[in-house]
Amino acid sequence: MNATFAIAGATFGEAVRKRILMVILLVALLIILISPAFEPFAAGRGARTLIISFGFGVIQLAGTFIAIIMCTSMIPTEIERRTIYTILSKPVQRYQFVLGKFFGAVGTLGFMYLMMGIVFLIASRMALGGFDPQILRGLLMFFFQSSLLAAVVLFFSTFVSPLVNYFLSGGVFLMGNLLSSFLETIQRNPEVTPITRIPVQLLTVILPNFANFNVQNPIINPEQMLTDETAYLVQTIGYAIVYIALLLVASMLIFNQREM
Amino acid sequence: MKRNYSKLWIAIVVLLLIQAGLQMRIFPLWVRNYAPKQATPVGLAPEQLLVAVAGFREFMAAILWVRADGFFDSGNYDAVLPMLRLVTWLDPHNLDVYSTGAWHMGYNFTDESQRSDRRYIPMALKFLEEGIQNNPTVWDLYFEMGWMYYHKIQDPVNAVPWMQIANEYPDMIPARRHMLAHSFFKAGRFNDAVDHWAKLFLDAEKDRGKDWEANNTYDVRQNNLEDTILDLLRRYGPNPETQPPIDLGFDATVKVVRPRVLLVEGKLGIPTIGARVTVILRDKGRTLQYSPSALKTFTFEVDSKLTYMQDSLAVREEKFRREIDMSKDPKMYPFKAEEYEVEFIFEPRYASPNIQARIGSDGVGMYDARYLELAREKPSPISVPEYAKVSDALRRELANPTRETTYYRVRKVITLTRADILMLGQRGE
Repeated sequence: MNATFAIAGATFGEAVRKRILMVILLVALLIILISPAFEPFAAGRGARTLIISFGFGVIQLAGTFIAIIMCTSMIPTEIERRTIYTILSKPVQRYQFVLGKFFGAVGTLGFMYLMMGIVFLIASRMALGGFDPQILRGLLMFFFQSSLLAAVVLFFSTFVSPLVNYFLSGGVFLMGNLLSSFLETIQRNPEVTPITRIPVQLLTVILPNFANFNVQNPIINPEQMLTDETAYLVQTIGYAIVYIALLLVASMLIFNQREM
Repeated sequence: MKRNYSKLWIAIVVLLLIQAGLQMRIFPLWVRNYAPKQATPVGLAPEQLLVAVAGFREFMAAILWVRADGFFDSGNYDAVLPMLRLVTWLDPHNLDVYSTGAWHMGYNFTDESQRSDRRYIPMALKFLEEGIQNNPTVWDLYFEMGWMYYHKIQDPVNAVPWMQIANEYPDMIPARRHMLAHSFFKAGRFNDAVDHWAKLFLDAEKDRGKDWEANNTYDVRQNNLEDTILDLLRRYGPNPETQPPIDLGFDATVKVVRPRVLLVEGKLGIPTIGARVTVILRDKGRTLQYSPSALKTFTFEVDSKLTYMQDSLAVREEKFRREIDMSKDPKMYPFKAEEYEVEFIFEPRYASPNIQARIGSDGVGMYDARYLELAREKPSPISVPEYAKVSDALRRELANPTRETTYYRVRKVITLTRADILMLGQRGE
């Protein structure tokens, strides 16, 4: 376990030193910080909608980019630089290496979400004169969304090149954001035959569903009455953890069999 | 090594099944809480259409809404409509857009004399219906729909069901609950109005003394309850003030003074000031159906061939007279049909309280030898959305309304031809 955390620590240190990730973070922080400038454009509730939705949009986008850029090159770079041989020649198992890399990535994402979250809360308080604790719920769900995406990217990075991984992970993220609404649309349409519906249903339960984490709409429109909100959040977080575990086990399986 | 791999494979299968089970539990809740309940006209959800803006969906909607506000302020009303469509696609849970958009369609398209283009009202109702389907768990849009019927269409019978739905929501603003009692009263359901005021009064009594607002609510409800009972006693109790009925001696004439300009005048024997006669000019045999189901799908296109004008004429010294100029708004009054009906109506339900004190709010205290008629009305059936927080009893009642209300009104219809209105063959077009 010590080896896992040592690798995680090193991965975290390496990630926060990566200029591209820091640039994305700084740009996101700057944009969130200036979001109160939208306030004069719309009065009252309109201003709230603008500022909160903009903040969530920036954070989600930054989180997605950070997860993909950070994790795509994580394992391939170690192989390319041959530093992986140094690591694996020590008493470190391959699964510990994969786990360490993932925890390092999640730690980095946590740090970045913390930074963006603090700035977002300050900005929204500056603009709206109050602290909305519901924002934390949205941030938590986005953090789990990015962590799941990081696991997807890490899984692909065990067997494809970084360039292919960018497109593959981006595609899975896009699909995972669309599947639920697509399934809901075809379920409501009585003309859709089971031949079309069943494959979509199967894909929805097999592929990682990123739409589950997009809970920002009721926070932006607080009049909405939600049903079993806590149960939904708990199940969705549980889903993220189980799916991440699934991807990590699959990554270990592939990485263990890989010739190096 | 092989044993380890088989364990990993077993772990993968188990985790895959667990996550599938979780996803199957999450999906119904996601549909209920987060999915847009209505697809866009092209049959796709906003996520599918606008994946490019992914996380910025609501932000884009908010920006467009601000832009729409700018169009509204500059009087460019036509430009607001497509903005409304875009904003509600992007963020179907923004209640302000639905309520303000419906108000905009219902009230703001007017002619040079500030008469509403009533062809937009079915559109406003359809827009609100879409909003309700997307936000069934919120009371606001049910209330807005009720308000549209109550105030703009002046149809209290159809306002009642929507107000009843809104009233079932525990978080409804207290003062808004009063509208159900007002709607009951105007719809002629006097007992229901008294019952509702009494219930509201008892509710307010519980919070009395809490703060200024609670005390004010208590006072308002007490006054309304007392006034309603007193009005009913005066009008319908022993020795009613509405009897004997007064003879209205109603009549109305219409004269074309210039092409597309009508002079309407007539008499109505209401002894006090404040009475108003409604005049409607429309294509013969065509009435506007004020119902969300009047349109199959939502559209911003009005029937460009339909002419429909409605105005309200003030009665002074038992007479009314007005020149109605429709020549400056050819898009609103295209006059494409061959024949037109000019309908004059006086009905007591929306008359001022001093008039209702004499003739009753259902017209029992008025008489007319030629034009008096008994109107019978029943609310249209409403299919309450699945997720609405409404009791099963009310749901059943609204799906199959049986209660009919009646009231007296005077009504005269005059037929004109297109040639008459356009003065064809004379000095006209």
